Amino acid sequence: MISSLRQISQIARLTFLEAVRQRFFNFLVLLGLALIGSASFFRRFDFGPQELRFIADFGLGGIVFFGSILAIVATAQLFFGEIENRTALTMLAKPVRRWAFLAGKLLGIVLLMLVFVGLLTTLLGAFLWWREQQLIDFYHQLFLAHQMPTDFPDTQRVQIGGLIMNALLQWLKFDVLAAITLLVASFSNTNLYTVVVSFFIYLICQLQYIAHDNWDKIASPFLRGLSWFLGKLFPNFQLFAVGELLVFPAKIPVPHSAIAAAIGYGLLYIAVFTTLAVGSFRSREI
Amino acid sequence: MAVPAIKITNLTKDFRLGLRGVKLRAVDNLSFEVADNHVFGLLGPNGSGKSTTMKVILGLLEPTIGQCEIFGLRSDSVEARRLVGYLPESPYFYRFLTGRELVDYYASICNVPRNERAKRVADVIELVGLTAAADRRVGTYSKGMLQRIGLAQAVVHDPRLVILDEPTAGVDPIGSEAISELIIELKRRGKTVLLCSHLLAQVEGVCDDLAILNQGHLVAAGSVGELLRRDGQSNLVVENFPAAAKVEIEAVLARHGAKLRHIDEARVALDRLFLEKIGAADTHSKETQ
Amino acid sequence: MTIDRSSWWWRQGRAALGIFATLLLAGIILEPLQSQAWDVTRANQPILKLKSLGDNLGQGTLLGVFGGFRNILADFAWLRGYSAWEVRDLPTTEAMLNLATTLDPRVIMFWTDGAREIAYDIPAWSRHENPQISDEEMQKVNVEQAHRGLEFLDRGLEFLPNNYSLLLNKAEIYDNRLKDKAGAAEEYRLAAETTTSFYFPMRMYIRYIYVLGHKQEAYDYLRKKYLTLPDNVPDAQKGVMWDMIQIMEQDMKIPEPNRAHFPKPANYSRDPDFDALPGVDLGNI
Repeated sequence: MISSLRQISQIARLTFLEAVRQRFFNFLVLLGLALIGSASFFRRFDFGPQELRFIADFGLGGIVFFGSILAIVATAQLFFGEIENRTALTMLAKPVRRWAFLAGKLLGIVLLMLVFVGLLTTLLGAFLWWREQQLIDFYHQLFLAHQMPTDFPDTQRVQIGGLIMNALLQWLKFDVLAAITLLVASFSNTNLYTVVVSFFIYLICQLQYIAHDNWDKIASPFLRGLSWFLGKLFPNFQLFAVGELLVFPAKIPVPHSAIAAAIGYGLLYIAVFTTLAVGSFRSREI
Repeated sequence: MAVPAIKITNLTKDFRLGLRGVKLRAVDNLSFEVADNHVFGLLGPNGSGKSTTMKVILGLLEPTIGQCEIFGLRSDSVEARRLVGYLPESPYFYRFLTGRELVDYYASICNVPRNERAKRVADVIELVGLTAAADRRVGTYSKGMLQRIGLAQAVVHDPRLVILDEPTAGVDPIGSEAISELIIELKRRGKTVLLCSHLLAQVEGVCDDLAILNQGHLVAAGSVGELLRRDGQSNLVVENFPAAAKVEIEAVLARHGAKLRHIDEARVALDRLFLEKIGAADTHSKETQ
Repeated sequence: MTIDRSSWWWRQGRAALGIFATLLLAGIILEPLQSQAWDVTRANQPILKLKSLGDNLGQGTLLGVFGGFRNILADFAWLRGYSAWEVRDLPTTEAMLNLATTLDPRVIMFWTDGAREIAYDIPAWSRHENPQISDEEMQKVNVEQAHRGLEFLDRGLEFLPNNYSLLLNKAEIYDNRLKDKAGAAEEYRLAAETTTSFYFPMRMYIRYIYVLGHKQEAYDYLRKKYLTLPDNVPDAQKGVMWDMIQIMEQDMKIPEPNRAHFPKPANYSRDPDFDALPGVDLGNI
């Protein structure tokens, strides 16, 4: 077992090194950074205290959008790259168990997503903090001059701890998405098919909440059953948005149990999809 | 009796093609053994089942019928794969790693103890003649260097069985000769080598035994000497052969019930000529520098 | 009928069934975890609570599809609408306004600025495009747009119930565009109930119901609220409020024993242009 763990860490390390050298990754990071940086032009508009929400929306939206693409495409590319270049042959001819190989690939991608989310969140956090200080000073001057009834409202202030927790939850979501992609890749023949099917599943997971919350409102027994089934079959990706509620003070406070539940949910689904991928890959003929 | 390095018994492998599951039988009732510390050539035209057989040996494919053992262990077990080193055809490795890093990576994957790893890596790199290039990125290697670093990663964990798939494909005659010498060296070190190659001259030169596959069937197997011998025929190599001697020899042979079939000009093999000339040119250029 | 267990269909079907069964089991087992997190998420994002599957399914689908980056799309739509507003492009402005509020109805500014564009700016564009428009026609446009602005804010209040800014904007539309003091007063009252930081709506409510004739109600409300006013917050205008009590007591001729007798706030003196209660002759008050 220990030797398998060592193998997993070695495979993960190399997968990560290979991934960060991919132009696609660098391109998405640059796009994400550009999107966050472009939020600086919001100063042109008089959004008031809500400007910070606009900046946060841009940054968090960029992380979600580009992160989702990266999770799917990088996973598919790193898996099929091994198959097409036959480095998978070389690796699996060694005393490496197939589950260790897959686990190593997934761990490498998890590290990649951690770097991606960490980098963009750090920049976003720094930018938000800088702009918040400017706005606080500005509104304080207006308040002192009796031009504003109150100081900069606390409800519009960024919670850095919340931003970090949101980053953690988004990272978990991307890891679930990577595990789903790995499952599809384990039985798929081509990179393109894997990417398309994974994006399709991603959309279903985004919409799962409609089936989950409304199956009992449907009249037709067949459709009701189908809706219930779909609501249970796929994970609910909207659930990870509980992290967004932490970035600014929420109307209804977010209990720690909800955050812990979301984290547990994500971790368990990663385990489920990875196990399924291992089972599928075991019988794959390389 | 020594356990054979590879023992294949009644191996049959079918592939299902398309939605209707049409069967393609890639290997049909194949049985042969590879003795320990032998160099074994696996030959056959494209589509003969060589790759399929090799993948079964490596545990990458499951047999439909039959079985395969590596030193008495099931070929699909991790324990068996510890005893095997594999060089794939036209190997591709991670271009951003140096040769040394690559071999070290595979050494760690194969659980070579950490305190031995550096020395083992250095030894195999020296064995394949890449010490000077070990710290260059693999992406800068020529085809021959890739083959050699591939061989290094295949043997770094000191396997008992080394499987080489087209090790000299795309390699020039000098590189090819170097690889042949490496194969002989591996045998000298007690290893068993399974060699798949289309270069029949090379196979003939290094292999002890061979098997020939065609359309999934074994059509010939045995030692090289036995397979290539022409019963009832001998070769003579003669210097300064005058016509008068030819007549006398024919008469002598006729008295003994033999017959002179034909006379060919003695020829040196082209690869041998190439090596001699290139080697001579290298020696001359070194002397004149 | 014999089943070929080595057929592609059998093998793939068995594998797919295994995957679906595992995912279904996982979904059932993880339901408690999902509910715990999802209930909180949904409570804070009203748009995710679909009232009916019919009309709102499209909206829910749109939101679901875009997921976390619907906010950024809403922002882009808003900015696009802003650009259209700058050049008085009415169709694009309205379309982008609707798109932004559909994608992300949590942003207060979308509703307040949007309502102002509908109630104030669009009528002005009408006059700009048609300088010959009669006053009657213009009044019709003003009223129509004012009502559209109010409907727009009502839609926002479905997602942001009891939101101060939205209620204040409704009051201002009633006040400035419809000249409806009764309607304005009610909205000012609702706005005042939602905040302890802003005092303007409270003052407006009291003024309006007083001049509309509900003097006792205004006086009672003012006396109750006066006790909650902080001394050191300029916006509370405690001195002005004290003055209003004096004026009401004199105007309503409240007997001396029944008056509030609140002490006069320190450093307060009435502004010469004081008109806290329009229509009330301050005289010697």
